[in-house]
Amino acid sequence: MSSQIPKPVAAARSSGLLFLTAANLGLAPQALRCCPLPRTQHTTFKTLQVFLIALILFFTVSSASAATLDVGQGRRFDSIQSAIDAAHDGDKIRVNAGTYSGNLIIKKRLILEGANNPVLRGDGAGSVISIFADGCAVRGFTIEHSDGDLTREDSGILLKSSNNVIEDNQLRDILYGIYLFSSRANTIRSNRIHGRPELEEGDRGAGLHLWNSPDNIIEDNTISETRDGIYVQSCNGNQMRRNRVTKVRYGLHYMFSDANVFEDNFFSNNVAGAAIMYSNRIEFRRNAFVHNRGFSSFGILFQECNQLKAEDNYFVDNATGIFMEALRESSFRHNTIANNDVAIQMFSSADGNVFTENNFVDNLSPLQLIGRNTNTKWSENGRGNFWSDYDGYDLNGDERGDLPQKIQNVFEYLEGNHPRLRIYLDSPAAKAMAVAEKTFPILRGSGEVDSAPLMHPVPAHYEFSDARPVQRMNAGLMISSIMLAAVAGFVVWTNQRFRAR
Amino acid sequence: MSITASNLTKKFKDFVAVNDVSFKVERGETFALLGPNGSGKTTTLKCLLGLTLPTAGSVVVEGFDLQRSSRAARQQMSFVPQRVSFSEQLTGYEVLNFFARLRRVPRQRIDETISTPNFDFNGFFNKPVGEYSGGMIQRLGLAVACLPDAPVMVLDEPTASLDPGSAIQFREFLKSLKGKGKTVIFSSHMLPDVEQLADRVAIMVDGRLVALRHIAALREELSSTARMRVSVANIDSPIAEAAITAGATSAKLEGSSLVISARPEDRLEILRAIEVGGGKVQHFSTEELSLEDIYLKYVTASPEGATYPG
Amino acid sequence: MDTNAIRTIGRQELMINVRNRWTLVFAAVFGVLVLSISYFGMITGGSLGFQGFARTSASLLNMVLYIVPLVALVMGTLSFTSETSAGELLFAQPVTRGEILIGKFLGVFASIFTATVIGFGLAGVIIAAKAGPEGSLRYPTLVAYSLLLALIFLSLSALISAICRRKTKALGVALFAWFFFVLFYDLLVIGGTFLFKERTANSLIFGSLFGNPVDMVRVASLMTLNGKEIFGAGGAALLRFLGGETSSLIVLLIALSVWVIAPLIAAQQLLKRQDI
Repeated sequence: MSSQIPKPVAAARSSGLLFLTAANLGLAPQALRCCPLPRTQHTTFKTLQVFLIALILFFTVSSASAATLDVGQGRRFDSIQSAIDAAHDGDKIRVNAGTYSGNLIIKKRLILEGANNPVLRGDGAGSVISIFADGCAVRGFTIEHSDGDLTREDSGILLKSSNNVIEDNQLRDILYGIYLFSSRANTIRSNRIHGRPELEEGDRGAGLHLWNSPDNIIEDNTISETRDGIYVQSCNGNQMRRNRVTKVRYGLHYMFSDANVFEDNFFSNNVAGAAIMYSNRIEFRRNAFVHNRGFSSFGILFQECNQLKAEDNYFVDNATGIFMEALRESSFRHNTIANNDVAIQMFSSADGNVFTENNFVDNLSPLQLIGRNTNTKWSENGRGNFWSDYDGYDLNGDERGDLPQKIQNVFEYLEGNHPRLRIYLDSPAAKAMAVAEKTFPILRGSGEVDSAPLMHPVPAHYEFSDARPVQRMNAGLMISSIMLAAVAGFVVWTNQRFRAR
Repeated sequence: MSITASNLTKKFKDFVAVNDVSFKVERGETFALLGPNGSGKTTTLKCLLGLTLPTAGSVVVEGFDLQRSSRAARQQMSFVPQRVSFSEQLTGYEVLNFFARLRRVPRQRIDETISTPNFDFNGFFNKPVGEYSGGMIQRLGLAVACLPDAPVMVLDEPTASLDPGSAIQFREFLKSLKGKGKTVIFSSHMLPDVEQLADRVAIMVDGRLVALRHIAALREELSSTARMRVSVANIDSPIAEAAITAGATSAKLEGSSLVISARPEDRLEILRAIEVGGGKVQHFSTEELSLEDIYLKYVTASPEGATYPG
Repeated sequence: MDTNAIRTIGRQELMINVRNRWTLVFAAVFGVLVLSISYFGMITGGSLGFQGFARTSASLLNMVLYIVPLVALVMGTLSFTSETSAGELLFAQPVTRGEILIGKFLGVFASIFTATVIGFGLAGVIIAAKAGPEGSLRYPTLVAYSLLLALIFLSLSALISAICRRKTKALGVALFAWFFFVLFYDLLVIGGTFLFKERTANSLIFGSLFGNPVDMVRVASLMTLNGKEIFGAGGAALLRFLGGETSSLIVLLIALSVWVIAPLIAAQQLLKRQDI
């Protein structure tokens, strides 16, 4: 039931007009079909009388509240489209359980609400639902089977209007999930979008695609196996919260979009958790970028961006935690960068960035620098970062190490510009070089230095428990280990015992 | 023929350790290689066993060519090295068990072998070799050699490292092998051993086999060249001539005494002849010919001998 | 080939090695290290609790790369250069030198295997407690690569012993070989890459992997344990260089097999021509 009560006069006028038109065309107004009309009387008076009654009836219905149109087997409408055709602005169409076919085109301000998860199956041409009217809502549907043409925006739901609410839907077998086409101030909430895994990544569409669509709120959505999770091009001022994106190319992909905020999102098992390109003043907090593995996989990737702000994020178990090319004047604070093969990969085009009070924990390489040293500030106001491999000391007890942390050892420094050398990662030779560098400081290595390394990690509360390594007992391994050790022990015991005659 | 060595030669770089050595050993014969240290005895033995690979020449053992059918040839032999050693961690039983398995000898042969009176392990049998005395290790080595009951027994300097008691025991043991009809070939640098044990002796000097004698012939030779030293007061008298006339093979003056080589049965006659010839014998002693003398004899006897100094 | 002889010699070699201190010392050192690495890796879970099995196994691998070659070289050299008189007696038996070599090889390997498996078995219990399903393949892979490394260095110790003959000299050369393969070789290659042009340097690095079994095992294990992307672009280029993942694995296994077999054959050929 719509909470909006339309202005009576305007509503009456427009409804009446519509009604008249319909009556003149000889169509029975569907809103009144339930009232039996005396068709045997043919006098003009009678007709006028009925007309007037109907008019009054209609006025009372439409001005009191919007109508709810029931769709389903044995309901008033057996197809959604027929209900849409019959509905008026502000009406709610309730669709009961069942599978419905056909693409829907909505040009009225309607609420489409699925009860008990009805399935809307597209006819395979174009988008399953296209919305052209502002202020619509679609909730509670399973939407499937869109067409597959990337250039025609074939989507589960295509929005070409503003102020819509799309929530609690499940989208599958669709090219794009929800496409926002010059569509502002929508709320996209709690949808589950699953793309077409059978397609090559490049042939798929994004789970959520925003083009020229500012000021939207995107929250609590779950997206997997699309091309990008959320693709945002030329859209300012969007907010993304608590979305979960897995098994896509880029979990969240900004192009030419400024002043966006994304918080508490979870990105795992993607090529990159987020890719931020040609965008400025984006702020992101408390997001998790985890398990993004692959030859060039990243927790987050920056290209040509200015003045970003990253706080309290988690970059864990990625091939590369943070990748930055031409990132400028951005700050990283309170982030935890742990268990990545490379914590930060940085081109010397990075300029004027600040890292302070971040935790760098158990990364195989803390920093890979391609090109010359940068002017990155690894500490600010006397507060550096926590490095789990820091081996200095803190004699004056100010919680900061008395020796600066050289972020790269000489092998890591060389490796940055000779990528094939990485084959020698973790080899005794690489370690020996690092030791040699410490012992004989004449070896000129990297200039990236944290002059105020923290002695203890910054408190971080990792909320995404399912991103942690699975720590379950492996019964098979346990049993075989015990058996192997026992057999070996037995071999030792029997061979220890002198064989007597 | 039990063992036939033909034209064995072993060169180490420019040093010839064994130089064209040939000999044959009959079945049941005890054959000794006699020679000073470094004469090539051990190298010859190792060539027989296939441990050292000869530069030239061949070895046939019980009809098997050592090079072509080395496994079968070695199956015919048991070996006792000069210094026996076993892993200290193993017990005597385990050592025997190892060699028994290796040569596919039935397990009861172990019991048979050690029950012979030669091997008295005194309950040490189940103790690790590390606790054994040198003599016991030597005995264990002999037991290992006896285990397969091979027709040929090869021993390298078997008595060299034995104390006198053990040496006596060991001689008994070798005699018992002979009694069982084994072919025994051993090397030694000690004449008494060879005299007591061997049927035939090959004398090696500087890698060459300089003499091959039956033991009786050697004994004859030895005694024929036994020496007698006679001290005479009037050394100027022509006693040397007298001795020669009386049957001495040689007589030389050395200081105040005359050194005479002669057969034992002629010695008394020679002494009389000296007395008769005017010599006043004050004292006389006989001495057996030393091994060195024999070597010297053969070295000087052989034409190229001088080209191989000690 | 007389398998009875090989088996007998192998069993005695195992018995001797278990009874002398080497196997037990190795088992103890190895066990303590493996246990502590897996304990701190799996139970305490690193500073923030993100430490997964992959990192623990990578630390284990690192330790394996140092210790296993050393132990295999030392135990192998001690065994292959047994005392002359004991050697004489054995070689005078009706067995071929090849059989003695293989018998000893298998015997020493069995003792290293035993010690390794005790260490890995104990650590496996700790790891299994938390490894989850990912441990099922990775941990046995680590154990398998360790044993392969032991085989290779045992084979090398056979060759070293055949060349040097004398125990002390052979031990010295074995230690040098350990130092060379574990450290010096890589330093040479890393240094060498700066002398050549990029293209030459790349093939030098990739080609050089095959010259050092430690490197092969390290690269292969890290790729299996941590994911093939651990070496970044270098790793991708390597896989392409070797013709893809499957063919890389095949090439690797062939190369490692060559490293086991070739020194052994060389040792056998030398031994055949030697006087004992």
